Amino acid sequence: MKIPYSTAKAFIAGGKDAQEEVYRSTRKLLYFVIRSIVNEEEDAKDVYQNVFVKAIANAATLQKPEALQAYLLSLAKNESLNYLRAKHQEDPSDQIDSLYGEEETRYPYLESYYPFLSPKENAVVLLKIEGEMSFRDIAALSGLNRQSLNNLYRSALKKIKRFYQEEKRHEHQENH
Amino acid sequence: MSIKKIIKQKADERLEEETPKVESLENPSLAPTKAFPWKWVAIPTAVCAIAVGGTFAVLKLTAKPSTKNGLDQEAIVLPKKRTMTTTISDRCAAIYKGFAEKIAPVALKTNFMNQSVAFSAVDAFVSLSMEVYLSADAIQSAYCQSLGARDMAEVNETVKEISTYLGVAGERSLGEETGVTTGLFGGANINSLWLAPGLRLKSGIDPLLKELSDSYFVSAYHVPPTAANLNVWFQSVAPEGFDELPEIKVPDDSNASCVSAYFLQDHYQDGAQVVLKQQYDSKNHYLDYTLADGTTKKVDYIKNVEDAGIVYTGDDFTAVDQKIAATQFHYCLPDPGKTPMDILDAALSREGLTSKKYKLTTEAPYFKINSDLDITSTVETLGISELKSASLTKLVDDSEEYLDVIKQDSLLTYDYRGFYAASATVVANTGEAEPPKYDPYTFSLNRPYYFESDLYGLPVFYGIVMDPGYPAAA
Repeated sequence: MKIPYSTAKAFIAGGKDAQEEVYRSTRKLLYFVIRSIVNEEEDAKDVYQNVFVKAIANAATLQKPEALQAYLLSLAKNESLNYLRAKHQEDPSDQIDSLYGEEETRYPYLESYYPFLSPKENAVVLLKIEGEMSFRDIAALSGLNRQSLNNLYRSALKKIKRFYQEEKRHEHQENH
Repeated sequence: MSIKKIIKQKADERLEEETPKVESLENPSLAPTKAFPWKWVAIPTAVCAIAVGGTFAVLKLTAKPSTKNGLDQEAIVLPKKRTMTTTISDRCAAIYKGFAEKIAPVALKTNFMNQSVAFSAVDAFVSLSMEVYLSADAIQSAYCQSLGARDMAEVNETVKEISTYLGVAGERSLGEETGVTTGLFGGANINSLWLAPGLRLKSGIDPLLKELSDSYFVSAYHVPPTAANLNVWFQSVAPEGFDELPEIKVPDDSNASCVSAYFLQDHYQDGAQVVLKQQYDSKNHYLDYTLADGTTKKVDYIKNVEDAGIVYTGDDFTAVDQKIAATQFHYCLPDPGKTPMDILDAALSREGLTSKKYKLTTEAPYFKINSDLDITSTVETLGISELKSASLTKLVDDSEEYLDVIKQDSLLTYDYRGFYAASATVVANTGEAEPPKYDPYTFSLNRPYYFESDLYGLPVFYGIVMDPGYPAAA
């Protein structure tokens, strides 16, 4: 997800074309972030709608176009956590410190991507590869430090590679 | 196909299918045309640390009660009562000096525009340390490493010691406790933390707030840190005698600011002041000062004669030390053809200087420096540029703060009153043995020069004087 500076600037100024462009370039990643926190699909959709409405409503108060991407991700995360708090009357402050940090917590949505990876590994791989995010940005979003993210990412890539190699080998064996 | 492409393709396909559509954005004609009355939403905005430099005046130095500004009624944290200290630990002195010597050249070089400029180290150290203390562990770790501190607790202890050693100086001057002037010198370090009303504090941060009170002596307010608000606060906390203050110039769109103010007064003794004032009023006691463009102007100055003064010689400059009551100026005069910027690094390092005693005459111009520095780039020097991405993460809930700018506005004046303000005690001595005789040497600061001022052996101000800029007698 890369938002060109000129687009971000136009988004802040309220440009309709820019709103559409930002929406199209960010929708999948933002939904992934929301869904990774809010497990129920319908709940996640509600949060997702709110994020875009709020982003547009508050665009004029944004000061730095270059920070738009970080803002949207932060908004998605905070809206998700606020939703959980309102729904379950829980204080999600621990999760703000480190998303996907609780080993005993289940993240069914994340685990559905690569079941053999941990939720953290799934999140890092998807944010890094699908979201094209830097470790710095992922660190800012997740609360995990960059070195940990790097380690998780390398480890996850190895496991995924091994998985596809195995899959390929099985296919090869079945064909012969 | 590479493994990354496979991952991306599969995730892309799945998310394309799963991600719901926002109708108003799929069809722009349905998009909202005005802002909705939503409740407050976290917005990444600026964090400013304003470091306020010193100034001085003649009247007695009595700190005003900060309740005059009406803010303390709204404070969420109030500073712990301070006790003046007359000593500082070697570790804390080294950490503070490390900061000052690392940051001063960056601050001066990045802000020098062929005009006089000055950097104040105490308030820069306190405000930056506060900002770091409220931010992530990784930032704290980098900051500590840069300063040679073991951990943030040691930095906090250094802030506490510096604030009580250089900032209060109770018995040596006024004392917040007594409000009575007791000496020639007075200093005050007063700090505050400003948070826009919309910002919510994290839960469970009582220990952090306590440390802000205990070590940083902070007053924290849920009040927008606009320039107008900060200047009202600045005026209200300035000790008596500071009848002229620099204007704090910060963007009005900040929503969280760590602020440290430092005030300093150091007077010449009353008798000396009378003589110096007569010289000033006479309008004929001038030094010919050559500006950078080669033109000459007449400036008021103070002449000091010592029977045995040391002249230091370095690469392309000479230097002398001049003491007022508590502070000591370290003047560095570039050799003809050289500029203060040419000698800055060598002057700061003080390495390789040779020294010789003379019967020394020092001619030091009055100066008035109104300095407006942007020292944001110092975060790179300190290895804490991550603050630009995320800051105050230990303090603020539901928000993504980041550092926007670090400004320092200061007003330094040196004239017949001195560099500080205080009453005078004259001790007359007689019966001393005749001192040894030395060759004469006149150290005349008659062209642009560099200076530092030390207080009790620690640097507090650094400056470059291009044009002394002190107004002539009316």
